[in-house]
Amino acid sequence: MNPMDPMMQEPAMQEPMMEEPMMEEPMMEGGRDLIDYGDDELLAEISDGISDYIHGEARDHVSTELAQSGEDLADTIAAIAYQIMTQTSEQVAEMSPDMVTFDVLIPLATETIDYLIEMADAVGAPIPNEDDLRGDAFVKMIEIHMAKVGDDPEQLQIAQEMLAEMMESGDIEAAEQYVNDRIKREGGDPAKTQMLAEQMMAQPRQDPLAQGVQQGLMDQEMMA
Amino acid sequence: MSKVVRGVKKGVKKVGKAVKKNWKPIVGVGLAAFTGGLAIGGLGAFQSAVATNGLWSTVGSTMWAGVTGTAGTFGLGSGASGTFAAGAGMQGATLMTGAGAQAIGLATQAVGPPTSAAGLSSAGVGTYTGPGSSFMGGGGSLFGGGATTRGGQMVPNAVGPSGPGGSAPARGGAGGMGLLGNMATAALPALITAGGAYYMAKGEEEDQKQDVWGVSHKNPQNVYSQNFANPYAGYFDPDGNSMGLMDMPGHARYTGGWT
Repeated sequence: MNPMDPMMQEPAMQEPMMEEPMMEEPMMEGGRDLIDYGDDELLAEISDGISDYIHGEARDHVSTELAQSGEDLADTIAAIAYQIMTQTSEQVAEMSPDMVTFDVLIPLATETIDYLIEMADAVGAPIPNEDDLRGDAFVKMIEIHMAKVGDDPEQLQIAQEMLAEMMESGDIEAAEQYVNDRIKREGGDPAKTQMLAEQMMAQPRQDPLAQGVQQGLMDQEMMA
Repeated sequence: MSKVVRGVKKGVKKVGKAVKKNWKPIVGVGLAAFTGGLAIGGLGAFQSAVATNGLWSTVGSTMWAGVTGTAGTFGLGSGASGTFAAGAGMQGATLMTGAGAQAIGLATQAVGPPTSAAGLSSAGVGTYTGPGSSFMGGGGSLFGGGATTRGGQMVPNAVGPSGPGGSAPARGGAGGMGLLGNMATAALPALITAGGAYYMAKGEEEDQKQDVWGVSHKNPQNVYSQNFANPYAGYFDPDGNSMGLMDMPGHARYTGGWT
């Protein structure tokens, strides 16, 4: 047996195939650099982008608005945050339509409001209670969103699904406590919440278009 | 506004969990208030109630409606949110099931027909008894011509709030009215849901692409034309420059003039 005979040599042990780690190389698609992110990295990336924008390009404008807002600080924060979220969602939709969901945007909205509160604090805007300011700004932002989307059933569905998730996980209980606490501090009575809701629901529902027409007529009368 | 999103490829799901702990209660309030907003009569009713009862009492009521309505829609038990009623000292804390939830559900569906521009809609709670009033039923004919049925949900063929050409001129008429005025531009479609069947039918949301914050996934390139129908996003010009908060009708220091 000739050990040099290649036919007689034991086949070399094949090394197990190792998958090469995926390099996060940018992939060109439609002229844009696309990077495959994980969930956390993705949110962090967008959040960093918003932070860069607030503290960079928009800093002068935003800080001036915040410094001048006085008692309207929550309104101002909500308005700025909503503008930023609208713009962000447009950019996200451009890059990855799958991502334009409340799931993604709600955490970003909360981060954005936090950035703005930090900046408001830095420019000396009075903030008696940071947590109250968070709540006020977020609710006002939701109010703006309600004004924009109206009765859109898809929006309602997404919000309901997230709310249902929070209800199942028990997170909603903290929300209820938060609201009851705010009502008490506002001088209201949490026990009347249900009654008030029923009163509002019992009132004839006004068509939004009719509201607009009515208000327009009233404005005209006032100007006349 | 420069690009805050430098490049994303992968969609994410269930990142609602990414909300920080101190934000969870507030996010819950916001979601509940948003979902309850329809039940209590929309933004107009909300803002009227704020003027009378204060912001947080109104938010609490809206939240009650939202939680109860959602529980009715998703068939959740009374455990999850029983504390809301109990904590508030309410009578009959079984909000999440039965007549209460159904009443909210009905109220949510009972959006007035969009034909009542000259006056008030009288489609209040329980006033509509036609074929569309069934919670699980499909369709009905509240809208008559021009409406299409989609999974039990009535959708008028009119352009939606983020659709092209969506009544931007009404912004001018809304001057000084703040958010209330914008309802005239935002809620023209007056959509109606004919029952929980719609939500059940759309339950597999994993692959659903949704429109959020007024941006359409179907035509993301067209964002700027959509913005003309969007009183808030419209404050960015096509180059992404902010036109200033003072120009925003919803802003406290709005002085009237963006044309």
